[in-house]
Amino acid sequence: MTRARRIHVLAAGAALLGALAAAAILRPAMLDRAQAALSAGDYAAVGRLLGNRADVAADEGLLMTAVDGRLGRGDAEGALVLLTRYTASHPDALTARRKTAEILAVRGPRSALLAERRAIARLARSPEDWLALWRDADLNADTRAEREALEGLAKARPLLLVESLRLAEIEAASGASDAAFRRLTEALPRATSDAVAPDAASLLFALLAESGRAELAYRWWQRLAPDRLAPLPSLLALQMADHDPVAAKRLVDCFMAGSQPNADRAGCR
Amino acid sequence: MTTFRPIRLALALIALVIGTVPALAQQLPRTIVALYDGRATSPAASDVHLTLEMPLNWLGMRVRYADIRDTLPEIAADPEIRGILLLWQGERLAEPAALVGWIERARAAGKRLVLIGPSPVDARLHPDLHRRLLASAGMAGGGRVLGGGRTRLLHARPGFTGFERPMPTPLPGFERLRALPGSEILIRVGAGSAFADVVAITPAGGYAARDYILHAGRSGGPRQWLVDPFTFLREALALGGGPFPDVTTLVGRRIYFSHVDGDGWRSVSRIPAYQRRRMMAAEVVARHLILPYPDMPVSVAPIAADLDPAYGGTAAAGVIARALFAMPQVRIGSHSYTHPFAWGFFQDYSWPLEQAIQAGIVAPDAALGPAGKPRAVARQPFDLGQEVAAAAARINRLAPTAKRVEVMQWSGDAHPFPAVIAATRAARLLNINGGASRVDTAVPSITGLSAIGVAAGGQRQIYAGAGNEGGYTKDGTADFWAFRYADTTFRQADRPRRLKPINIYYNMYSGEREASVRAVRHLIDQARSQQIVPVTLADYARIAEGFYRVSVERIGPGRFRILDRGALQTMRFDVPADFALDAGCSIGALGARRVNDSLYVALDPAVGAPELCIMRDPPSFAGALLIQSRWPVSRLRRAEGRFDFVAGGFGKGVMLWRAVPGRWQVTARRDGQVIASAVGRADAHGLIRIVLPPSTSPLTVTAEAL
Repeated sequence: MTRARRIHVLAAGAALLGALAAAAILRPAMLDRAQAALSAGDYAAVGRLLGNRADVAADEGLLMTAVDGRLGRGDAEGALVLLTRYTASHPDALTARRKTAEILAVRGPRSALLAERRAIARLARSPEDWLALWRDADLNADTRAEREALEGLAKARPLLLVESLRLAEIEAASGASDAAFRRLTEALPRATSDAVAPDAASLLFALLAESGRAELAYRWWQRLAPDRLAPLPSLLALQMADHDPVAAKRLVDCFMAGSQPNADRAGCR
Repeated sequence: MTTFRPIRLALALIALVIGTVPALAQQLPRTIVALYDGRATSPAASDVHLTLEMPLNWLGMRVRYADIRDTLPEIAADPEIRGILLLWQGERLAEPAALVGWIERARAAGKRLVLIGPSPVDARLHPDLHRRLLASAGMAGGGRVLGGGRTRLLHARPGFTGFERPMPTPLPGFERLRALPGSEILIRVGAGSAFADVVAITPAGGYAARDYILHAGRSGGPRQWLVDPFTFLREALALGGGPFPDVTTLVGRRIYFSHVDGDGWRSVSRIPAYQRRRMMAAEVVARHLILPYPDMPVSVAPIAADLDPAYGGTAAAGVIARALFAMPQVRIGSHSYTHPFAWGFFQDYSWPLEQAIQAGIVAPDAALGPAGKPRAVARQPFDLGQEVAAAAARINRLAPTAKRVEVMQWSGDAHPFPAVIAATRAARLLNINGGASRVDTAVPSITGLSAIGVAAGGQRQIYAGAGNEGGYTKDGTADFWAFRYADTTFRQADRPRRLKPINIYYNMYSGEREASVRAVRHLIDQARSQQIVPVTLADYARIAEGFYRVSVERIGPGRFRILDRGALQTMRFDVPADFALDAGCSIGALGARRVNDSLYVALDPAVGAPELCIMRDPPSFAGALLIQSRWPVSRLRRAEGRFDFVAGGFGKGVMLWRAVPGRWQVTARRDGQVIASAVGRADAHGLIRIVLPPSTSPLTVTAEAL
């Protein structure tokens, strides 16, 4: 490297350092002034202060002030542009993502909102965020997102009955019968019979019956179902449809025995 | 024999209804009796009202609610009753015999029954009554097959399912019901060897299992339709292609109206330039949202207490009211005297209790809403007369001579009780608000759109055409930018069906913040750029009232007479594209226009009992026909080479007519004086565009062929 070149490099480095130092010094002052304008409801001033600053796209404090300034002027589209640009380069920026979701929740599109909810829930892992994802996944009829939301929620806090039942339904429908079975056997003992939707009880019942645990199926049904023999025809229909007459007979024996007082439920085993 | 007919019946039904009709005048019944159990719900809170009444209204039906605890009305001989709607909420009936007998008598008299399961009759306790009820709906069978992931879709009519979302996964359980012979099965499901017709159009009406038509939102989400409710109701009630009285369209254009409630009238604006001058929000609204839009009418409704020093009001608030009322585009409403938040609180009222709540001695009930108190101003005991008649009188003191309070714009929860609605009628006021219609990202369902109104206790409340900014801004506390997206509702309530007019409805507190002002401006600008017919709030309320009173007679093949319609001036026909108005055979029709898949026929307000002929490829008509107009039009007279009419409205009178191709001399007069005259040309299709200068007072317009 020639001397002249060294001088150039040093000068450029010094300029860069200077600029960084200036930005570091000026940035808090700028931010303070912008935030003061924001507090005063002078959104136009916020725009004037931050409108053309490149570091708005890099500094979350400046960004959120600029975003609030735009929202204060009713410019949600402009705010969304700033937020989207920022989260593209800062995918973990939770505050920016929450603000984005807040706008998308009103503005749409629903697919973008769902993507934002998913990103937020994965970052924050809070029950509220998983619930918000569940709600929007349901509105979008997106079962995969529902499942992710409920599985995430299960890690954040114990699931409520209705949440467990829905997750088990999704698991069973996707072929994960064992997971559904485990989830239901865990959830249902905590439930009172009137809190359990018949279809949910039926799901567990079917899972048990399918796995040959007829007695357990019977016991669950006895506890949870309002009219104890009512499921027999449908269950038989299922077993027969599966070409399993032996299982069907076992069920009939079990239920007929169970419906008698003090009956020996040997047939259920 | 029950068959699958996986084809759309719409065209066949329309041809049937319009093409094969008796020669004698026959009233077309348009009332549906909805049964409910008053122990479980009320008309306004019922699922029928919240989900089905809007589609029923769109199909021209009005709903009369009947509490099964009362003596059920004798409907068998009532020609106005088309059918019964039974969507049960609450416990199954202990003594269902009387209900089933009543339904059977109605069915024997030809009334249709739409049963949305589950049945209110317990099959185990009353097997015979259960069977009879199902038979009345054209169904048979029984015994529940539970879900559990085994249910399979065996048949669905193409295009019927997936209306707002796909069928649930897994499919729910079902009652093993089958539709009786002669039915069309819309959805059949099965599990193993068991199957059921979960949605069917039957000779008696229709049946639908609730879980197969409506999805209950999870985690607090709104409900969404799994199937097309319009198709189901149209076919179950044998409604065919119309005519359907319509409250969304006038003279071929979408109705626009706007109203402002007085909340926040005296709040000092937080917009810095105005805050420094202590400018009231109402003045900001006047300056930015009303004054610049002389072509966009708006009803302004102060809270009388804001104008009354005895209740904390100020003279300055009155000055703004007076200035607003003097603007030509402003009409006057009342937003009550003391601004009740929870009207129900005052139905069975206790002044000491209200005082105790206001003083914080008694904890407020959750039913009092976010305000936590029954009303905004509680200096005197609540008085019905004060809230209605006295409030109007107090506001009228600031009105110009030619204007008076026309409409009571309900405050707070907008759930008035029957006596207070009766008080508005006694005071000769129309009434509106409530409904909170919205369909957008947050509420992605037409279940978010309200019925036209709600009836209770012999009274009727008309709902606003859209929700106000409170629903977007957490009741005026945050997200002030969000109301701009109310235009999503306006778009989605226009296509593919025009379900609602455009109603920009907001509060005076919108003047507090820049974002709110910009949001409302955005909405007004958007509406202004569209093909609308701006009317006043009172005009819309009268049109809505007309919806409930109008009756329709079929007087011949494809011919209908419209009676007692009040201010309602549009009849809609859902007919194929080759059907049109036969103007030569019709009386009192200004013209017709196709919007979406419907034909909207504009009626002449000057004709008391118009007659409409709708037919396939009608003969050509030499007279002038109105296609669309920004101004309401009346008193149309046609003669050879000439037509004249009366019109007036907000903004310029832009209108499109079809007449004989060639040059036309168009002259507009007010009180006999010519105010505009021009020569225009009707193109090769006979289309001639007329633009009249702004005039809210009626002009007489004459067009003569040259």
